[in-house]
Amino acid sequence: MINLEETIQKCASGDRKAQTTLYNHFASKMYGVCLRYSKDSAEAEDNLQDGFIRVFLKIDQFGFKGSFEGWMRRIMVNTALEKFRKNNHLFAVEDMVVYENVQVAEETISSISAGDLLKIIQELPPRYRMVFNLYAIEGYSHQEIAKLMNINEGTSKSNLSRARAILQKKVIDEFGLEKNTVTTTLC
Amino acid sequence: MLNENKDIDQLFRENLGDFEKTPPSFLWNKIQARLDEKQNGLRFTMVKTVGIAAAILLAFLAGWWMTNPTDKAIPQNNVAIQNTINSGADTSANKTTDTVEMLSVNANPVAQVNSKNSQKVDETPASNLSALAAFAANTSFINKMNDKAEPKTSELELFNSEKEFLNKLQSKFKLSKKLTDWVTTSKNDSTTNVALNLKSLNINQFNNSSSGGTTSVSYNNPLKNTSGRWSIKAEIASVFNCQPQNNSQGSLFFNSTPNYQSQKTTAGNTVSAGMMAGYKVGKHLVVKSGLVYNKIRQTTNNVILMGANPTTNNLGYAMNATTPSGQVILTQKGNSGMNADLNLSNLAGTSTLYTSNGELNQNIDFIEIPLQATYKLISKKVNVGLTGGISTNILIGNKANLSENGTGIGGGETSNMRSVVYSGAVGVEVGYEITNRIVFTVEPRLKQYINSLSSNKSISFKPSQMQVVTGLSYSFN
Repeated sequence: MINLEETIQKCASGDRKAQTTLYNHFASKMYGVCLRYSKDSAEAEDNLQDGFIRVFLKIDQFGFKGSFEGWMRRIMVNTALEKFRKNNHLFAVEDMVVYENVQVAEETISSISAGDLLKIIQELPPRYRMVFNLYAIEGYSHQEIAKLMNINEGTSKSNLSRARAILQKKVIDEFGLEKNTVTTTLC
Repeated sequence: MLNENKDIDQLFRENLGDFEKTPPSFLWNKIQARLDEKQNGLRFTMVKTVGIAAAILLAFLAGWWMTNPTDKAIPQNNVAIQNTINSGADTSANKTTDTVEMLSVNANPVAQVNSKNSQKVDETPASNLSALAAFAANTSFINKMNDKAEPKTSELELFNSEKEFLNKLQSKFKLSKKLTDWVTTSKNDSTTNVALNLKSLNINQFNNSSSGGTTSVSYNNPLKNTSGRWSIKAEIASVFNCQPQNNSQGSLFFNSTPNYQSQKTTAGNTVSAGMMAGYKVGKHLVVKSGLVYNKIRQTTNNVILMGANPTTNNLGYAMNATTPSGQVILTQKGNSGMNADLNLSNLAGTSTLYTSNGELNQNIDFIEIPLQATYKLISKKVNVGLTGGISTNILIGNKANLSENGTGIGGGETSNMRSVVYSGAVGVEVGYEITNRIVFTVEPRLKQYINSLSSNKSISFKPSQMQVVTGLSYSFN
């Protein structure tokens, strides 16, 4: 276990050894966050690099109020969002089959690995991926997401529901479900 | 149909909320490299800022020196007052008033410049002195009008302080205490006021007098008397580098491979060149700064090589050499003509040390920003001065070449070179005046790097250089 406070203070003074310790301690968790916000591992690696650089440059501003891990996580999320905003181009979202009232079997769910779900989430169009991550996993409200992504709340809501729909479809397609429960609509 | 279902958000939140995965190990190296870059960038920005600040300071000081000649300079060199007494002249008050007015006006250019210094009560500003000296000259004229004993032309009287002047004034003219009190209280105001008040004072004096005359004052504006202060100089130097000659690692492996000689590092001689600007701050002192290109070269024979970690580059086979100035990381340059002994692929990824008959050249280039002062001991046709200064050296080139029998087989750079290092230098400058403006100089100079060129703490690489600097300087104005 590392002495976090001491390590943070040493990092703030540019101590490379402390920076290595901090990186080793948090890299896996933060890489997990970055992977969720990226389309593939290469993008996630880029974001992790940028995020850690930012962490080390700003670490002297961490006020020891609240969780350091949460602070780092927010930096990683912001890094991903910034990159998204920078490359934000209108992307065509093709019409898709949406399954409503889907119920996935408990047994099926338990057989799904995190890796499988990650793959599915990475395949989402970027904007949907951002909104879904922010809402469903990070727990932000639509109002907050609208602000973070510079979109309006309505867009955030519709993006979320489309993201959910796509995710549902993929979970169903890949892991199976009871055909009777599916209704098909076009949107 | 199953009873227990989970909504999609929950499914992802529970599985991915705390998802962890170990990132690839090379990522940390990349992050470290970028952090180093940022730190170096920051350092470079700081150096740039300091450089700009120094340039502004230098410009300010130059301006200050030009507009504020030293205390003694004004009365001795710049103010010449001649009073010619026309004893038989018209005694009208108007005429004398005009004369005194001229004095006041002529004293003003200095007065205005120096009025900002007038808070210093004890030290009389030069301009005050000049104004007072002018007044003194004029009072001798007043005295002449009242009295007859003075010579026709009275010379300027100099006073080291205001107090001395006032004492003289009091004793010589038996002026009332009121006057001296008045001058004392007025000195905190601008000298312009002093001059104006002197004028009115004089009028009163003249009004009481019965004789008259004219006073002519010649006053040299100090601004015009700064000729020859600026100069530029182009210089080129032969540089003899004195660095550690041997690498202790050489003998270690020598015994096991007796066909090879031990590794040996020597310092090479180079050339430096640059442009300098000089500013004369006094009769003997010149301050100089500029830009100079400087090179350090080292050659290592029979270099010992070791296979480098292949992850350090993907372009070709890599290897390391250790020299007194640090580790050199090399990569292969082509395959043609390579001696089998030095085929770097034999070394790739190995940790075996390998003695070779290759020659490793390390070239490290700097742009030097010196700040020098030259004190002239002799200022004649042939002049001699002592020069000393410090320099900021900014790394602009870092190359290493490995060759065998003259064929280049590998290239790379010396690792851990600092981007900015500092050095000091002393020299004796001998100059010959070709014309009034052009001087040819020769200067033996000793330069010593103050901090190690390598950021690796276990390496102390502080070369010293013997330079023979030849230059041509040109003075303006």
